[in-house]
Amino acid sequence: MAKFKPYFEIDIPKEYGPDERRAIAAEIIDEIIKRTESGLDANGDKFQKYSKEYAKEKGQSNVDLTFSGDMLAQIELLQERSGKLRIGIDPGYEGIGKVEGNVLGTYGNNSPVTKPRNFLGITENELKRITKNYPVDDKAERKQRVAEITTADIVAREILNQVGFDDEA
Amino acid sequence: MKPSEVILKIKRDIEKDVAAYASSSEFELVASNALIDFIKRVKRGFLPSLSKINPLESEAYIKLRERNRSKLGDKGKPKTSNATATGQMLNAMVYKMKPRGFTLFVDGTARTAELSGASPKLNNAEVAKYYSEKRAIFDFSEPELKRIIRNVKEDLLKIIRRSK
Repeated sequence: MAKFKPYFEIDIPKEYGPDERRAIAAEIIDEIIKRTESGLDANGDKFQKYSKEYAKEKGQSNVDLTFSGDMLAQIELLQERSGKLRIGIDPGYEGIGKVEGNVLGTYGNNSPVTKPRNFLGITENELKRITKNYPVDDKAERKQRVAEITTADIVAREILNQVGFDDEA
Repeated sequence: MKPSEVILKIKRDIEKDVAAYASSSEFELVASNALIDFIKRVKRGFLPSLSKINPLESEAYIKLRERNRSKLGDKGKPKTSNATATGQMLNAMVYKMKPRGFTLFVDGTARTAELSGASPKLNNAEVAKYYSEKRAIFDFSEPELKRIIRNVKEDLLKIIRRSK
């Protein structure tokens, strides 16, 4: 059996510079997580339902591949170069078996035991929706989008500094 | 303009809108979802580090939980610690909006009967304080923090686009 690759690669226009590639990757990762949490796989199809036993243990029947939340939080930009993005999960991640189980449907077995729940990927429509904000023929517009994404990230982290737990009211 | 100057300009342009956002229903939804995520994770038995909550040690307490299994809630197991014996402490958790953020806390509401049937001696906030000395559950996990950032970012991008 071929070695499991916990990532996918996307071809993007070679006109995009490193900042643009990183901004696009960040948008793709957010989109993957949002889509997965809404119960849709990398093709935009509904995930295979959980078994009754697992749904009971998890305390919910809607499939969002989120138990501790750790697996989806591991998705990252693994590599970017001219015309190419590689997005996925570091093969050294301790929960990589869980990733493989979901993506291939193997869950610890040598061959699939259920329909895979592949969350690693992006649909053509999702990619189009993201890249339309980075028009190849308008560098200024692309730069503006990168600045917007960066600003939103900076301000969100500033807000996060004011988020936490209190002992009481 | 340099990229850093563009970022500063956008920040300046949206400053008032960000202040308004901090008191908006959209941001309150982020807080509410953060609370839901926190409770889900704790009920599944995870600490903020995502390692398992320290196991229950007292045999007598485990037996008490076994006898009252039906009261432990949908994810409750007699031998597993998930901060849910009667469920009152986690049910007393609320969020409070702050000028540019929010906090979660256990409200000091009165408790009804304990799992043993005994009358409560502590309120929920006091139980939380006692509980957290042995099991430090009251913090966000990395995925929870990332989700808050993601949700806020999404809202902020809408604000930035509106301000253009």
